Amino acid sequence: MSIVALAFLAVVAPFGLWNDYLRDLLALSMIFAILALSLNVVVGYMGEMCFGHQMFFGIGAYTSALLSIHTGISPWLGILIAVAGAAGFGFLVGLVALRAMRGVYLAIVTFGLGAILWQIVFNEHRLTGGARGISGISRLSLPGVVFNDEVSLYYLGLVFLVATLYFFVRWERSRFGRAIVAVRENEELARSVGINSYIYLVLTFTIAAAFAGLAGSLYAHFLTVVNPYLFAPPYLLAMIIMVIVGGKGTLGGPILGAFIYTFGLNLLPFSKEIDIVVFGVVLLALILLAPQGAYPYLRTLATRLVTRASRRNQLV
Amino acid sequence: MNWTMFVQTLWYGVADGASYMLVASGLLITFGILRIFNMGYGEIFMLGAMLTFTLIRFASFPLLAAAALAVVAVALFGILVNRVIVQPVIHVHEMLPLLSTLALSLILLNGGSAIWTYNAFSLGFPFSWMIRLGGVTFSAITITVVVVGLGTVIGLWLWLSKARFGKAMRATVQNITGARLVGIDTKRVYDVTMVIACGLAALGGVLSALFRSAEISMGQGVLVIGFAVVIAAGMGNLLGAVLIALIFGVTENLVAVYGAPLYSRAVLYAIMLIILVLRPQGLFTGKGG
Amino acid sequence: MQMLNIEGISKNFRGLQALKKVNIDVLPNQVLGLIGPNGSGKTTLLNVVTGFLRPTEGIVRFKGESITGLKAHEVARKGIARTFQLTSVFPNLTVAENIVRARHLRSTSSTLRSLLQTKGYRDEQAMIELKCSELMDLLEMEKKKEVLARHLAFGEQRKLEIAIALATEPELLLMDEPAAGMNPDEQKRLIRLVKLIVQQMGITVMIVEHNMRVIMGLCDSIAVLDYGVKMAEGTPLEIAHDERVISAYLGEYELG
Repeated sequence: MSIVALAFLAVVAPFGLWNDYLRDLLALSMIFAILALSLNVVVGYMGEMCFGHQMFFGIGAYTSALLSIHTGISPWLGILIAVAGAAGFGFLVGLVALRAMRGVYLAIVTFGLGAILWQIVFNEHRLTGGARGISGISRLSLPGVVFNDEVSLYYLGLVFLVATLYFFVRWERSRFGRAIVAVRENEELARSVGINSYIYLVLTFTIAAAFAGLAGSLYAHFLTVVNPYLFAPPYLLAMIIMVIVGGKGTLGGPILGAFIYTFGLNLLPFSKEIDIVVFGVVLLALILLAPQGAYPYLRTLATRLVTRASRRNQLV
Repeated sequence: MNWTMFVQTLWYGVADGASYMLVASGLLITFGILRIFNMGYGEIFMLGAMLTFTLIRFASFPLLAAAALAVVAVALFGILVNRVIVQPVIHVHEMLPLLSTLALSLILLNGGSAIWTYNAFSLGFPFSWMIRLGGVTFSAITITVVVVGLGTVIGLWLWLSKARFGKAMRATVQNITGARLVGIDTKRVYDVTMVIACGLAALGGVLSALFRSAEISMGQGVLVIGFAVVIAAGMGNLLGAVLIALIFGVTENLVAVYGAPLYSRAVLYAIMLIILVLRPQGLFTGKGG
Repeated sequence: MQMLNIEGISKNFRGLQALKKVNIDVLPNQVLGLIGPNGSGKTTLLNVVTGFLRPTEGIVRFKGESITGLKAHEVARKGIARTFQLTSVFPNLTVAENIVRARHLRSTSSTLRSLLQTKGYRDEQAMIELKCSELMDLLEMEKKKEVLARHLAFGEQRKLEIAIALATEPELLLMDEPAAGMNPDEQKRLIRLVKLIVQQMGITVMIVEHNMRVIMGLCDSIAVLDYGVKMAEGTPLEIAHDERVISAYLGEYELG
């Protein structure tokens, strides 16, 4: 029942908003939702933290951008290649990093890698356009429709988001998904029942990188410009905020977090710096008060309210 | 090969290394005792410098007084950090302190840029004499920075090995339950650790600002040194931490002068990653300091 | 043919010799007990056999085939399961979900098939659920199947551990101090359970234990480790009367 309601809401959402800017944010939320879900794979399913995850987002974005500018291939193919590129890189990183490192060390290593990539992209003018980035990226189009306005972009993003959700729902119930959860819960025990924890961790990490790359690639085609700040720490913070605020380990949480972040950051009346301070404080408050995230907190709250309401009915 | 320039660059590397040493030691004891990695450490480093600048520029303090006051203030801020940001989450999940300190770093960095803007400020220095040896200049500033840095680290080392509380701290690193059993107040140890660590960072920031300048982004590259220290120096090895700090300082300067200046930070990260991949247990394992 | 051959296994940890040329054979369908004081290397031996540690020297053979140096998940694939000394379950999953995870080896649907929800996938799901129900019935845990593992009482967690190990359909089961922390009632039920496992499921069992009542009640054969060396082997009766064993070790144990 609630799924139908959600679906209805999703379809009519753009028309409920009263100006283009809000619709723009709505479309952007779709991309960030995919990005948040990709980090959620690492945090929720692997139980690890990747402090450089934005590099996969950036790789996806820049791959699409470069392909669009320098070659004439279809942007859809470009998306595929960007995803493959991000996934490939994620695979390599996972292969090396996950052999001996977990927890804090893994976070540190991924942070370092992200920082290196950020420096490279920022400095290499000839290859990546340096600080100015790349602009003039082509739009996506299908016969009959060009995705260049907020509404069409929103629906396109929605389609990708739904596809992503579908993948994760099914994946969770598959042998693979079960195995990785087992590894997260108790790696030793998982190995003793025949699960090759290393391979599963690496492949899961690859999937996370792939979806981050997808988000990046869509970003490139939605905004038509990319800049090296996609690789910078603020984007990492954005993702973390989305996952933490929304609640990790669930599918709805990161999506909620993406909405809160996108709308919150852009609609707050302060300057960009103060906005981030506000988010920092909110993040801190959440970590201290509701470490499970806003989404589970709200869910528990909602359940409690519902039970209290029904109990009241019974008494009367 | 221009030896003068080489030695000069080396010396600048040592000067940078002096402030890095303080950062390295501070993070070492934070990680060793509290078992957390303070992602906001770079911003605390920056805070020391910015506060000093503010006191000099807007309250007309002389350099020494301003620096002393700033360092003490930031050190005491460490208690707040410990009580509010670290302690409440430290036992819930090992990752949470990383996130809460990351939030702190965000708040300090962006809040700071709103207050101080992105400009770079000079702290000024009362002495301008210098020593020249064969074409290489050793300015008063750099000499002061190196002396203060080394002196502080040596003082720290002495304190940890000889003073009662210092020994208590080392005991807590090695065995927290045992430490509690023999009557060591671990809560106080945590507070003191944060105070010392923040004080060290702040002093490091002041030294770095003296040698270079005070600006909001000065703490950004400092974390990587902390990473390297934590990973490569193993636990409890102060000498290793100091060496790594020096290596970083020197390498950074050498790369900037002889290599690609834009990549000096990236090279540092790359070195650290290579170390990590090849020897996850650390480069110097074993006790010391 | 023997189920398990441990031949000349030694294990050094940076100068500390945990195991020294240990030789133990386990025959099919029997229960072998491994006893010895704390620190004698019993768990280390288990870890070597199950692939969690590599031996410094020696060979481990399972049904005639060498499994020395195989990784833990590969050893599991060969048909060897184990339980751990400290209770090992998947804490945030329900009992049913715990057991399902252990069916990993016995289910083969690829991710693609589960994405597409093919008939083969759904059939296999049904099989998995059937097997899990059977196991839960066996261990009298049906009623708890939706309870989170970390909310279970200690004794039930222990049972869950055994269920997880059995779900992999092993031929050889290695148990690391399963009776630790159990009261006499629970011990009796454990003995009955292990006997059932051996007789009805045809599984061979090697059990590391301190609890002499359980050991004496279950084992066909006992091996004694001391400082990493096997110092005695024989039937329970022989071991109980072996002077070396008595003087050195049995005095330590409470008889129940």
